[in-house]
Amino acid sequence: MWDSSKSRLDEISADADILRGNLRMLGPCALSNRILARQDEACGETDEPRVVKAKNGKPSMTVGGISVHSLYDPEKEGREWVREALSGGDLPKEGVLVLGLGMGYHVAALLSATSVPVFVFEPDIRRIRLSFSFISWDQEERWRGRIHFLSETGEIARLDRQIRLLVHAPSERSQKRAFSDAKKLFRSIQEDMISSLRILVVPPVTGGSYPVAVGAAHGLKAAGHRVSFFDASPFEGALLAIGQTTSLDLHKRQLQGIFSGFMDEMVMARVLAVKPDLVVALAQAPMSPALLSRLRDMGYPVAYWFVEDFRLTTYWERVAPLVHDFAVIQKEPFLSLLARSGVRGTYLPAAADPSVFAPRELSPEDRKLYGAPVGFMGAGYHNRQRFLPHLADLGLKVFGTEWNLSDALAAAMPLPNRRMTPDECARIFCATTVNVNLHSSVYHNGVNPDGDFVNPRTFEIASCGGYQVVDRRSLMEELFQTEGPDAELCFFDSETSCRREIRRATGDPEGRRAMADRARKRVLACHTYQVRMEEWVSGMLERGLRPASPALTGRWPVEGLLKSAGEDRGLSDFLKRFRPMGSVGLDDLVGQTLPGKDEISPEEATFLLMKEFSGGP
Amino acid sequence: MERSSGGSPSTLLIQRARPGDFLESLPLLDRAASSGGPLGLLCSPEIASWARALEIKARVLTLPGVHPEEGFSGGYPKWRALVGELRDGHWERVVHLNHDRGGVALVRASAIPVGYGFTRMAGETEGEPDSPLGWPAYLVSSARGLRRKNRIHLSDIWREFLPEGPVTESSSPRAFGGSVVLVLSGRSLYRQPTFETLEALIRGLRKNGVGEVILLGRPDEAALGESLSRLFLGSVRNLAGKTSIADLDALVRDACLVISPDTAPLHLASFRRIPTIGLFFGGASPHETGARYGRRISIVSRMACHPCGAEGSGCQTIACRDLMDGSMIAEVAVSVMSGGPLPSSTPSLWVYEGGESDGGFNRLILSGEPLRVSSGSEGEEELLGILFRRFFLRLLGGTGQPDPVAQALSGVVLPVESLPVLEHLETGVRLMAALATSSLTRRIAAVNEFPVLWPLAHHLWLDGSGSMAKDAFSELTGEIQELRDTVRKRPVKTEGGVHVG
Repeated sequence: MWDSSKSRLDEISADADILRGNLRMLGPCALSNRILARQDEACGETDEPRVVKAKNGKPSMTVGGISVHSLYDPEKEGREWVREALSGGDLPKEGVLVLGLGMGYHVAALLSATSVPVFVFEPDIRRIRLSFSFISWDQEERWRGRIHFLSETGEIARLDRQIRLLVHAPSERSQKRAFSDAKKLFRSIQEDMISSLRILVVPPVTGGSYPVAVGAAHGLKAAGHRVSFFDASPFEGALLAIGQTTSLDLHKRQLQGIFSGFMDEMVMARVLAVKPDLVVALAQAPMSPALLSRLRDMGYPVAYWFVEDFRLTTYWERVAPLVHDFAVIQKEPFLSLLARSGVRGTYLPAAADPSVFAPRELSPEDRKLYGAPVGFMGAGYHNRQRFLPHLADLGLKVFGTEWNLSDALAAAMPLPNRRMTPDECARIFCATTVNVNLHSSVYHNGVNPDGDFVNPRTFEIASCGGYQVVDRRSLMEELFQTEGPDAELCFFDSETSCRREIRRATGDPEGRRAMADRARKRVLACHTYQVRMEEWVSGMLERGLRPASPALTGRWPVEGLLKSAGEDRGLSDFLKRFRPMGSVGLDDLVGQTLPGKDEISPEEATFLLMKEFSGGP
Repeated sequence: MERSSGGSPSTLLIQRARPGDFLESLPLLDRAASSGGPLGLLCSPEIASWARALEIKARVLTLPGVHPEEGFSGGYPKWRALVGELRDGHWERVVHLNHDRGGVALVRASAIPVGYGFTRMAGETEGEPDSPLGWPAYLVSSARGLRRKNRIHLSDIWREFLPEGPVTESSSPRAFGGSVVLVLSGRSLYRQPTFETLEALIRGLRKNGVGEVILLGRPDEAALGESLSRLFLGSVRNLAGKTSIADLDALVRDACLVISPDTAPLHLASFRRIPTIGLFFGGASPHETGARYGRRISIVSRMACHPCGAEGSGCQTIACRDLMDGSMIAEVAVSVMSGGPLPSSTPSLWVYEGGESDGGFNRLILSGEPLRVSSGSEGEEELLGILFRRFFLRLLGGTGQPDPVAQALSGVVLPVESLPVLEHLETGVRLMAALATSSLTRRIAAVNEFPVLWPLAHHLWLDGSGSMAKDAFSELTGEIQELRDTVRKRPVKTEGGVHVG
């Protein structure tokens, strides 16, 4: 018997030169960095791999006491593995994907026995490091340029669909979850699936993120996903009532805790009913860290869009590590702070929903109520309370909530402190000659000189075809043309420059209209929720997110299905009807099979059963 | 198309529910087999293994599994092959016993011409059904809190499968000293007798000279079984969690009595014609899912909330379990084994016995007394239950065999208080008939005033059987009228009641 505790790596003398040679072969890349940095955090699924000496003197490997290779002759075992693998026929010229490296004997044998590219997926960096310390992967001339190492599941998505999959079973036994994800992803490439995810959108109970959630849901739907919306707005009254019921902080906190627990269960009930492939949660969504942990444990990925200023709202520290993807509207230093917590943040700026924010004909009554030479729509933050009174003489009207009605602005508010619906906001933007857009700040008296993110209003005013003057933000330049004759927005840095730009724009209706048109075009092309959601979801797909049941809940290109139908005439005839659609999902295929008594064709019957038994909606 | 030599039609039974539900449908398979026609069973691989172990004489088709990774190219051929098997011209009638979309899709995909049971989902309004063969009334009565009045049994759906002539199904005589099988629980806490009940029951059995008590249950009940086994050292054998379906079958066949909550062994024992005592509390009702064959006693919790929604009821106390008096159950068991008279019902527990020579259907008599209706809410429920059973069985049709419960009404003692109930109901039926062409919202509002009519309203209005509404209303009015007239004609006062003869 082998005593692995006495046969440690150092006793079989790992060769630093071999490791260096292998790293040189890899070149500067994420994998070599991870190996050098000894980043083992992704290896939580398995025990520490150990190197033990096999009977024939070669290094072998065990994990948790179970051997990954033969403890007698690992090389011979590797050759036998290859013989078995090749019995399934010739390998495609595109190559093979081997799941599991271990020490690599089977991979070395495969390289020697074939001439095709070999992609090796090994999620445990420690095993790669050990293999790299004992086997020189560029030692043989005929191996060179054919071996590729992958350590992250998402990398599989970039492989050619013709590649054949080979699994190293001893490696799989100790890394079941990672291998299952990898196989799922690989199969989805082979199926040439166009992912149509089942997505549950969870908005906040109330607040500014609510319309963002609605826009995100519209955007996801427009991007071809099947979207359910958990409408938390009926609970707004309950949330407000908590604040009004007692002035005792302790009791208030208790009630809020109970309310939070209740909302958690509401969301969980909806998750269990919808069984989403992805939960998209917006900032302030009623999902406690406890719920996020439960969802994570149950395998429901949550993508969280933190449409907040991280400096003012700090709950991201608790939420971000618990979710699958954390999107933010700010870059540095926020992304670095997230990275320090082990979270890979996704920069996803705000956007507009053109189905709500669009140019519109207004009635004289609307023009009278909502229109003004200068208008502002937004909540009464400190800097706005201080800044806007200085514009009152220009014919200012102010809409929104949380304004101090005792100050000079009260006269400028036709609907004091009334919450405006998105539709009303759109009317305001359309009816106003010059929309002032001042980003909020609780520290400054006017413009925040260090402001970075761009608020949703910027996109919404532009989407309406409205004209705006907006305070300068550091992230604005990459979203809009900000300088020159084709500038899409007009900026101010101070009260003085704001007044100057308003006066200039008021006297230049042609220039105003041209700039507003350019801004609208830009938003429709680049800054709708559909664009954002497509970008976000495709990023997640690239990084390995897949529907829970990808093969049956996704979409397939019709031509691909026709090819698969082969000689089956009935199936081909049935599928040809769907050619104009380009791609189809099971919903489409059974969409015309209405409930009732009419007899259905065998093909319709088959798709009906596939849909019913795939857990489809 | 395949037929037996006697010309009986071939039948395919779709069973997608739990294995216990499969055992509950064994009588149907038995009925269909006894008619001589070829028989098939489409089920999960797990149920298929049970069917094979129990040597069910049916061709077994299994549903393909669903594997997330298989994709179109892996999934389509196997489902297409199943459709081919379903449509190979083999089957003439299909029975689907559960209200679930997958099973309804299988019925649809099979294109088998005659369907029984749930051939459509409640609420689907496309097309008109040929006949009201489904169970929507049963389903809706279950869902609408009217279950105390429901007397439509699961087996009523296969009345048409009854062979001509009387059915003999006596239990085989059992030696008193044989073993008694005691099942520790059903699938949830709401079907699990308390430790105290089990202890008192075993003690009572031991006191009366019963030989061995064999405990059966789930693997997680092994410890409970061990506790009881230690308590009654040498006389209790704990096999909880240790039996396969074949073992279970063998044990049940050898037992002289099986005592069980409403769960798989109860139905298996009943199918094997072993005497059974079913314990019904929580969500289980013997009117709906009681045993079908052999000598069968049901001991039922007599609480106002029974039968409840069990796991869905939110009940924390499950007080109905506490009413299950172990010594009373032991007393009933001893009576069954010795052939003596059953003890009377108590204020806490009903003791029902399923009648013989009625084809195994839902004739329930109370402690050997004729079916009766007492005054008070229990009496009202009983009356309406019988009334609606008579009505729905007429509506459902069947072989034309007389319904034992309907017949039993001739011996019912109606309380005088029942007359206003019947008048109220008649008003409701008239109103429903008058609103036949009104908007659905208005009709639903009207029915809310007469909740007991919900099953009928759902059946006729929401489930697409609208064209039958007129006839159905007239049938029900006739049923009510008959009952009222009888009461008026022969008012014989007996202890505050009216005897209907």
